[in-house]
Amino acid sequence: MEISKESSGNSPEALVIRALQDDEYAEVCKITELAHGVPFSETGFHWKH
Amino acid sequence: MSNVCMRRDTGEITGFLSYVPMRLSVMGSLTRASLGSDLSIHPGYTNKGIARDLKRKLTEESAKSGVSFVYATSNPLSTALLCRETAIPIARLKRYSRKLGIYYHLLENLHLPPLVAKTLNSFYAFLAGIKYKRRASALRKALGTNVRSQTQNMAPELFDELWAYMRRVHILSFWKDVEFLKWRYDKNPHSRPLYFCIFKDEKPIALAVVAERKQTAYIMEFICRDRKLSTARFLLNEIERKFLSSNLRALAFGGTDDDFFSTVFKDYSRQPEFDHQMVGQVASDSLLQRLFSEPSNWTLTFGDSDGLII
Repeated sequence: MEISKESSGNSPEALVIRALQDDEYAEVCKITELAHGVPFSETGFHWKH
Repeated sequence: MSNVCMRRDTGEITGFLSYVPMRLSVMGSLTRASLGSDLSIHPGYTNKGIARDLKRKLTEESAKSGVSFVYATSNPLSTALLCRETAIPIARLKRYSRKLGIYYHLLENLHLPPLVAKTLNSFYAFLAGIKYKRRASALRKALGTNVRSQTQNMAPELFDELWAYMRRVHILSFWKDVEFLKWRYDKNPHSRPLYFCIFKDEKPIALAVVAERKQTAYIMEFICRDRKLSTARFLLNEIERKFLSSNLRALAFGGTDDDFFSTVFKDYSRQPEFDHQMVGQVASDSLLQRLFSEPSNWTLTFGDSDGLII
């Protein structure tokens, strides 16, 4: 699913939504912690992954 | 399953949403559902509609794979986001709690040393335990002969018999068989659940799952055959008795089931609950479409919410 979003400079960024890959798990943990301010382990049924 | 949103040029991940396959009981029949979970947007990419797009993708993929119901547990902010399109609030859990023992009162209000507070709390628990034991005896007698309680650390295999009955009593509830309990509690590396079971004639008539977090014992599941009040009171008495001498701060429960839980927990204090609002949308299933938007149709507890991870 391809989408396009405007950045703060009004230039559109091409974004794509796709399935998470195994080697991206650590990065997703970081983003979740940044977004929620709590460890990833406290944001959902994380042991499912 | 999980989806990410990434920048095509740099490969940077800007957002993330996972969804957990769940099962829903609609008047006793099994319906497939998806729980949207872990929604996270990189702080540098907020307010761009990425969450909305991730959610739209989740809904599309769920519908394609035969899922009838997509839902999430949310706080007020994410409720607003999730409801901006087609999801609607379905039910909000009510929170009940009561203080356990006198340990923290002695420690924090009277400033007694921990060892003294612990000793006095043990004495208090001993005296209160006599009252609980007497009450248990009276409640057991009211339930008839051959009633016994049992606590254990793993999901009781016999519970499926009770669930098979209760799913036909509930109008809408998430599927609570032994397989679910094992996944939700026994396999959760951060959870040390305690199962309270009540048997009559060796058949399960009630079950509660309790887990500790941050000095509080949370009742995550609370199921009584036919919503029978005397069984529920016996079950709750057994839970309170067990945690009397635990040095925990409080016992808490969250749930909604028409008036049943408010009657069972009538002696508990009620607090406003903002973080366990369920929102959802129906992809297909005409019966569910008619039932899901009425909060009194739902039986939900803390165990259904991924806002309380224990």
